[in-house]
Amino acid sequence: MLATRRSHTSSALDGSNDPALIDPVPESLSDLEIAQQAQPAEALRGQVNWQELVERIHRGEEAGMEELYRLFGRGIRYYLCRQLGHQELDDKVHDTFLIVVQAIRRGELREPERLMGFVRTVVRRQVAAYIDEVVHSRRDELNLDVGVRVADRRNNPEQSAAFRQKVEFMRGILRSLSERDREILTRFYLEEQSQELICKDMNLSETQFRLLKSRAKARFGEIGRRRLQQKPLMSVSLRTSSP
Amino acid sequence: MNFCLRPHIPDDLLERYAMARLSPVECASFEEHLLICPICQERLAGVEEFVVIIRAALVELGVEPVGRIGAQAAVSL
Repeated sequence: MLATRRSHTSSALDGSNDPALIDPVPESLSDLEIAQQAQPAEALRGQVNWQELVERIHRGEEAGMEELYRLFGRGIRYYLCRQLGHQELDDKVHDTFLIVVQAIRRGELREPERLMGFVRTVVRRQVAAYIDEVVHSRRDELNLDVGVRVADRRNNPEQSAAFRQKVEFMRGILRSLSERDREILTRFYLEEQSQELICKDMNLSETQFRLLKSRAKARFGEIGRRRLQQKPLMSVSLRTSSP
Repeated sequence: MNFCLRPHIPDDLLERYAMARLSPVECASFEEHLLICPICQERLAGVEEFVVIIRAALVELGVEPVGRIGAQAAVSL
């Protein structure tokens, strides 16, 4: 199942399996909003037996690796695609999966219940390594120290047309709003002001703020469902967290 | 068959993630969920699309700098 293959990024990932470098799962998750609403690894103990899964992989059981891939394959692909685009995606997924499996086989994952956090750390390091590789490669080629868009986010003509159409729809929605409502949305989405600041400045309650956003989304979604049958624009998705 | 976690990530957290507004600790827990939950992956894609589109539309509308309207009017949407 896992053919050993020299990755073109593996040199950049040396040390990625060093347990000392692995981000620990925070101990205080229960205090966080996200922990209350989206299940962290800790809450999954009853749903997935991480200990058993890690032991099976450690023993080299094919079924264990298949289970690992079933659990994380799509998510790894999604994360890498989101951060880096579609280029050589299969190879990148394979490399990431291989690193995880090899680390487990070497016994480097000492706390199996942290498998989710470990996979996340490996994926993020992969992203960082690919970005680093692209930046250096571009510098070598161009001898220029410039910002680089790592993911190939160029749309094909069909995607570009769909994007333009959606922006037009959104402009129509925004034009139908009061100037004040547009200002609220501008502050939040464009100027990235906090909800607290906006509500304070604009004398809004949290409910009013949420209502404005949710209605704008609902109208956009309604138009989208009615007029467009395109898939979401994954190719223009945002870079979010820094790897 | 894909595994997914319940409860799923709330919309406002998806939006904050899409806009890079989660703290590193929040981000860690969020991404662990995201790695294993295809439903939230789909939902995030939709949220990201909305953010990209509304930003583009706001830029094209050439919205004026903020702070000149004040708090006199009610939310009208």
